[in-house]
Amino acid sequence: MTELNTVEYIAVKSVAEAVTALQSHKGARVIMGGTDLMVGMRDGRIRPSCLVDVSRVRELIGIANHHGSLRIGAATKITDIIEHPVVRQACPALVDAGKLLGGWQIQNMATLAGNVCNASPAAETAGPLLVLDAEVEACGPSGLRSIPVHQFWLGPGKTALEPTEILTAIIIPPGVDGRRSAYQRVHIRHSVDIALVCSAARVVLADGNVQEARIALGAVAPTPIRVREAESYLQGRALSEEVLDKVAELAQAATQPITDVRASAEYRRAMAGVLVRRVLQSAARRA
Amino acid sequence: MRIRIDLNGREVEADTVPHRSLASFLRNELGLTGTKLSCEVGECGSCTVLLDGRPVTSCLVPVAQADGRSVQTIEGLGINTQMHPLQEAFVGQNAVQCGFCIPGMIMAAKALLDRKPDASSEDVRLILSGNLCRCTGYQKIVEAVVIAAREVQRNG
Ligand SMILES: Cc1cc2nc3c(=O)[nH]c(=O)nc-3n(C[C@H](O)[C@H](O)[C@H](O)COP(=O)(O)OP(=O)(O)OC[C@H]3O[C@@H](n4cnc5c(N)ncnc54)[C@H](O)[C@@H]3O)c2cc1C
Ligand code: FES
Ligand code: FES
Repeated sequence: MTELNTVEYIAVKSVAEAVTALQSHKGARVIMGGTDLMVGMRDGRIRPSCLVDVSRVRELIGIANHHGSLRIGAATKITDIIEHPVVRQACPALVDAGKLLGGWQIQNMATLAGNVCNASPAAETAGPLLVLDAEVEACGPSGLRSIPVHQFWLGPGKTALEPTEILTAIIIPPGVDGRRSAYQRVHIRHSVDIALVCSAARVVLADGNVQEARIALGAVAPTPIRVREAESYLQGRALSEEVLDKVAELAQAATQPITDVRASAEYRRAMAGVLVRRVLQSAARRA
Repeated sequence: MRIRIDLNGREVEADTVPHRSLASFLRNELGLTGTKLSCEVGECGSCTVLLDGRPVTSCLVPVAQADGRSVQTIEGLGINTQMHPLQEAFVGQNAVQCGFCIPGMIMAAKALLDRKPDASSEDVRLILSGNLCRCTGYQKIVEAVVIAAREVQRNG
C-alpha cells in the first residue's frame, strides 16, 4: 500500500478561486480526474506542494452549443463527451478518440482538459482537436484568453499555459464542419494502452473532391503534429488510391519518430502512412 | 478534512487526508477490504467501485472527490444467504479462481447491468476491458455476466 506525500488540497468552487489558489501557492497543480496526476505523484515524477481541485466547479462542467460553436467545459468527463448527441454528430473524431482513452473506469474519471494539459505526444484527443481547429480557453490573473490548439503544445509535458492559468474550456469554432472526421490508432491492447502511432483526419467534400482537409499525427514527434503539406496537396483532389499513396508519403516525411520500448522509429513511420490512409477513408465515408 | 459519503446506502462520516485514494480510505480507514488493490495505477480494475453509479478505479480517486457522493462497493451487493444475480452467476459458472479480480469485475458488470439490462457478450467484453484477470482466461467471467443479465431482466 503506497501512501502519498502530504500536500495541501484545496477543492475550489469557482474559476476565480482556483486562480487565486494557484497564485498564492507556489508549486501548486490543478487536479481534474487525477488519472495522470495521481499516477505521476505515486511514482514520484510529480511532486506538487498543493492540489487545486477544479473537478466540481459548476461553470466548468457541460457541453454547450451556441452560435455554431461547441464549448466543452474543462471538467466534463470523457464519458459525457462521447455520449453527447451533438458531439457525436459534429465531431465523430473526438468520439473515436474518447472511446479509446483507457477503459470505462478511466473514461468516467478523465477529462478532455486533463488529456490536453498533460501534453503527451500520444494524447488520444490531440489529433481530433487539431483537425477540428479547436481553441483552448484559459483563465489566469489577467482574465480569459484563447489559444489555438496547434500552438498549445510546446513539447512532451509542456504547454503554453502559465503556472497561474487554468484551462476552462475547449472550443470548436463556428464554421468548422467536423461531420466527416475520424481518429484511429495502432495499439497493442484495447484498454489501458497508449497509441504507438495515432492519426486524425477531417475532410469537407464537394462533388466527391476534397474542398478542405486536415490531417494530424500523434506519437511521431515531440508534440502532436499537423501534416500541412498533405492537407494542401489534397485540396481539389478525389481520394483515389494514387492520391492516398502520395498523402501517405507526405505524412511519413513529416514524422520524426523515436525508437523506444514500445516500437521502433521505422515501424512508427510505416504505420503513420497506413493510418493516414485509413482515417481519411473512414472520415470520407461519414456524412 | 471531514468527508461524508453515502456508502452502500449508509451515511459515513470521517476525518481523512483529502488526497488519499478512495481505495485506501475504504480499506484502511473503514476496514472494507472487499475492494482490492493491485497495480495502484489504474490499469487492472481490481479496485473498481461505483461513484454516483459509475465505475471508477478507486486507487486513482482522491477521497475528497467522493465527498457528498454515493459510493457502492462489493460489500453492499449481497450476502451469502441473499446474493446478487451477478454473484450467483459467478459462483454457478465457476467464474472465479483466485478471486482477486472478482470484486472489480462484479462492480463494473453491475454498472453495466444497471444501465443496460439486455447487455450482450460484446458489451460485456468491452466494458470489462479495463479489468485484468490473471487466472480465468475471461471466458467464464463473460458468460457469468451474460447469465446474470438474463436473470436481472427476468426479474425486471
Ligand atoms: C489506466 C490508464 C489508461 C489511460 N489510457 C489513456 C489513453 O488510452 N490515451 C490517453 O491519451 N491517455 C490515457 N491515459 C491518461 C489519462 O487518463 C488522460 O490523459 C486523461 O485525459 C487525463 O485527464 P484527467 O482529468 O484525469 O487529468 P489529471 O490527471 O487531473 O490532470 C492531468 C494534467 O493536466 C493538468 N490539468 C488538468 N486540468 C487542468 C486545467 N483545467 N487547467 C490546467 N491544468 C490542468 C494537471 O495539473 C495535470 O498535470 C490513461 C491513464 C490511465 C491511468
Ligand atoms: S489497483 Fe486500481 S486499477 Fe489496479
Ligand atoms: S480469478 Fe485470479 S485474477 Fe481473476
